[in-house]
Amino acid sequence: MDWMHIQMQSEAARTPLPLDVLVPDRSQKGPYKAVYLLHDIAGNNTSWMRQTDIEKRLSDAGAVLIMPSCLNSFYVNMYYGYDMLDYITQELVSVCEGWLSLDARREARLIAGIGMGGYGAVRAALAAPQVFGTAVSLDGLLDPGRFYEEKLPAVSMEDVLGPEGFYRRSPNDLLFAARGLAHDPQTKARPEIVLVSSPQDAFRTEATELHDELATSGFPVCLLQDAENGLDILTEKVRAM
Amino acid sequence: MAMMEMNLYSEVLDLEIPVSVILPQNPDHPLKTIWLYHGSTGDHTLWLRYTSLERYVRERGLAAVIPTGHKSLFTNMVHGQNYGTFLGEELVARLRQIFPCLSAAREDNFVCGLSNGAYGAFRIGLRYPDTFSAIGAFSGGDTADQYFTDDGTYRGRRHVIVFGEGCPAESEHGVKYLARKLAKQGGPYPRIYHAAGALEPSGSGDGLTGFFKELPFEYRFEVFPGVGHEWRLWDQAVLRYMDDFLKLKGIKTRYYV
Repeated sequence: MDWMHIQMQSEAARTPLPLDVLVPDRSQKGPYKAVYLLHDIAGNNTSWMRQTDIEKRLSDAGAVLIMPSCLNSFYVNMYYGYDMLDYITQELVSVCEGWLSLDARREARLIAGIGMGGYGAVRAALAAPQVFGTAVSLDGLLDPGRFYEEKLPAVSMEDVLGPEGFYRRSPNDLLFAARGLAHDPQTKARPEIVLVSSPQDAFRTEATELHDELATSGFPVCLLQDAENGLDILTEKVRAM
Repeated sequence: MAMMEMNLYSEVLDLEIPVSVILPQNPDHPLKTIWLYHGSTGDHTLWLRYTSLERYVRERGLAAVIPTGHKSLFTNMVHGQNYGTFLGEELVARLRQIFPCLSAAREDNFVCGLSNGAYGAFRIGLRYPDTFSAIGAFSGGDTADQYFTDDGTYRGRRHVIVFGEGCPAESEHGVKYLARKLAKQGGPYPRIYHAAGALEPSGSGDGLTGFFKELPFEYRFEVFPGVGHEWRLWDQAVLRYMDDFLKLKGIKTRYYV
């Protein structure tokens, strides 16, 4: 694949943001599938390339891999901070499709992430079901509300999500978002949600709870627990698109 | 604008090549593109580091592509690789495949370069006249119109690596050779903007001013007073090329500080 590092000015987040993109080699003809890969807490646009072998896995998959950097925002429109959800679901998709030869159908767009990025992927797909056909969460921090008590070292959940009572009644709570979308008569699209938990996943209970809520609400959802290698599942998902 | 640092695999060179690309963030039409070549001691980062290029292209709604040509002098090397083919064919095709927003129209593509990159711009522009409609050559000329021998100096050896022993002027390395060949076939003729500093040795136009005036090229030569072979000249010259010569229109922009 060919690699590009991009420095762009985000109008949504109102700040310059870096972005890494891998494009298929020239023997593969576009338009390509778009795979958005979201990093974990303390990560950035380079995390997927440095800590996984994703390029090797997907080099012949006819997919462009798009790796943004969203700081420790949990990919939401922060209570005190950046509007990262708008950046991911609107601006990033729009600029990438303006530059590159990307298939603009929702079923050709997959968003995935690890840890905080897993939460962000599901959050983005529920916020913009007309944009993303599939979300894959690998050991996603699926209820960041847990961190009001279990403090994160450098992130205040009050800054990211607002007061806890506010968070529980906002679509940043994925259960709340799922119920909201299920009862939204305007939005027919239902993204496929793939929840992958490794044996070490600290959010297994939350994954089960979210799975059940999504299943009850009629979403195509699957929960894969004790998955030895989430990247295998992600790779298969992208290949099957 | 978005600033992109790319690593492109070239089949011609069998090498990953760094290329800088500047693109508007929301292109709503095929983008006119300026292709810029560095000098023989430089790389793809220098145009960005020593000029206000990003601001210039932003103010004109252009795309810019700045490849690395290493020490090839932007030609197909006798003792080396086919950088000319890479730059004139493969790079153009590959970037248009990756970025369909780049215009493929000849009239929207302009090549330029400084010093030996000016030689490169002449050579690539004249060799690929269906791809580029204009050449901007700043502080350079027909580098191939000399006799080269491996005389033990670094410069001599470098030139022999690129051109071989002898004088390559009457070959595909030669600017005048390529121009005459194009004239013989009746064009298409890239428009040529040639600039030099009054204080540099080749400030006279490197012998090309008279040559091009006898052929059916639109050719303009301009000497910038008070400057030599330096970035102060090339920063002005690229702007003059875009505005006065190519007549690229300004667009409304918003700046970030």
